[in-house]
Amino acid sequence: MIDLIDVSLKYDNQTTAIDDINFKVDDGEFVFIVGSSGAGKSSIIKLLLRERVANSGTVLVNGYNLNRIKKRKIPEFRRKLGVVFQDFRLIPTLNVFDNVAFSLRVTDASNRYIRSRVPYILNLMGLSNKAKRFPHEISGGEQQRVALARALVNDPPLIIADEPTGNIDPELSYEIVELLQGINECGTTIVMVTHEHELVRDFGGRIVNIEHGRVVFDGIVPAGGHYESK
Amino acid sequence: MRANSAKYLVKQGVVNLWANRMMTLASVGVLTACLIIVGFAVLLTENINGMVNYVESQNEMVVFIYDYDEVAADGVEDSDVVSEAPDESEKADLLRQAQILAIENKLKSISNISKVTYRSREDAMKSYKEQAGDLGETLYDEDHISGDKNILPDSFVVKISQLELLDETIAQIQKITGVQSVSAATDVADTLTDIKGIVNIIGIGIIAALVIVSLVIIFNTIRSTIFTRRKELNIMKYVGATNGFIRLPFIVEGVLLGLISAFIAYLVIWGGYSYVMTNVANTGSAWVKSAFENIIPFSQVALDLALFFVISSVVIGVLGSVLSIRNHIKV
Repeated sequence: MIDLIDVSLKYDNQTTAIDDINFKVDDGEFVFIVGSSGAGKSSIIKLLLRERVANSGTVLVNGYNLNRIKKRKIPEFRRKLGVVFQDFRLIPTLNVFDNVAFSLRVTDASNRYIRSRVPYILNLMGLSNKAKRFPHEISGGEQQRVALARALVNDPPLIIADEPTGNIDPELSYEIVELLQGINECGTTIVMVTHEHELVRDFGGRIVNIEHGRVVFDGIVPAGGHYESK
Repeated sequence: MRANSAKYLVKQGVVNLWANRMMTLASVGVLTACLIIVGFAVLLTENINGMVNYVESQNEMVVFIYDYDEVAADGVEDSDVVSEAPDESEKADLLRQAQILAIENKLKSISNISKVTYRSREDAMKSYKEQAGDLGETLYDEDHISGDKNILPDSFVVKISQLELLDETIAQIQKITGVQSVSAATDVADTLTDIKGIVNIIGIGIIAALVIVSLVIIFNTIRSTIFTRRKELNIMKYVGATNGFIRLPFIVEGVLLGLISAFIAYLVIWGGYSYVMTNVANTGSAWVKSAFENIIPFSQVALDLALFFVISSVVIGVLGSVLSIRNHIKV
């Protein structure tokens, strides 16, 4: 599903964000990418979303080589991904229903399909009674669930979550991760980037620890277990 | 793109206008103000041009013609009417009339001449006598008017359409057989032509400058509108929207902003212009009244101005939107 081979990324000011990284995520996996602030987590997200292009190495995501993908193919590539951000990134002028429906509209889906698919996903996320609300009218946890619903509505094989628990209460954070786990159990590959080591330790699973732009740990840790740097 | 997607995007454009109403208000305000200024500049230039044209149309020249026995116009002597005249005096009279008619027709055939009025030597002398006042009464008797003592020639008062072609027209007139001389105020004509040229250059310059200033202001307003929504554009890109999909609602917004502004500006100009025409013109001094008599009525420019407003505002709205979002959809 994801394959990063000898990937390096430098910014214009010559700061090295990613330094010769290698890791692979197989279909159906749930992977936590952890690291402290400035470790290079956001840069990996930017590479995976094709917001940036690696200076060297190869980035393969969902069957696309992101070093070589043509510009006009980028929207098509992104439609096959579900993305969840720390700041939710909901469109403020659209209500909950239309925010979720937006992902379908960009695929040119019919109104009939939208009318059946969106309520189904909102129901899965426990948001049926919030469909007509605008983002500023609902709580942070609910906004993140809307973002998750938007990521899920196209039934993508891969969901990338960038600090999805960063802006919500700790107890709601567990709820969001459990939701992601539930989605993963249905076969969707999940990559969750976070700096909350405690949360990750509580859930366990495959953990990739990034520090100073390098992978310092990559392994499976049991729930409540510890992971260390290489 | 499916019809329902297009419909949705157009609807979104309309909804966004209301959702971002403060920025909509700012854009409409700026665009309306610019259109009003440009509109009034257009009207001012049109009016100055109209006044110069009016003065131009008042400019006359006099074409003096030879007496029929000095030089006969072409073909006059061959006329059957003249040769069949019973006596010499009548024959002479007919010859004179035939010559005048022939010259008049030739004058009328010159394209730049808009009006030809015949003035007989008798009328000319009467007019001269009137101008001379008391002195005229004593110096000029009836014999000076219709008798042999009248030394004035027959003439034509001629009005021309384009003053800048005055010299060519005079040359054409002078080629007509029977024409003695042409008296024209060439200095006045030159001055008027110069004024007209300067007014046109200044008018076009002012309008062009205003249009450029308007464009810069409008682009900046729309750009700041879109800057506040850059996150929205980013989100759209992340969920896989194509640039065309993102642009369409903004284009609809731009068109609507343009049309609303054009409509308001048009009403303001119409109202303002009509107010000045009716109130100021009627309450002002005699000089103001006479000056307003030659003002172009709004109805004369209404359609052109409406077309100019609709086209320019829509183009500005669309260009402003498309160019402004360009930088924000590169993600």
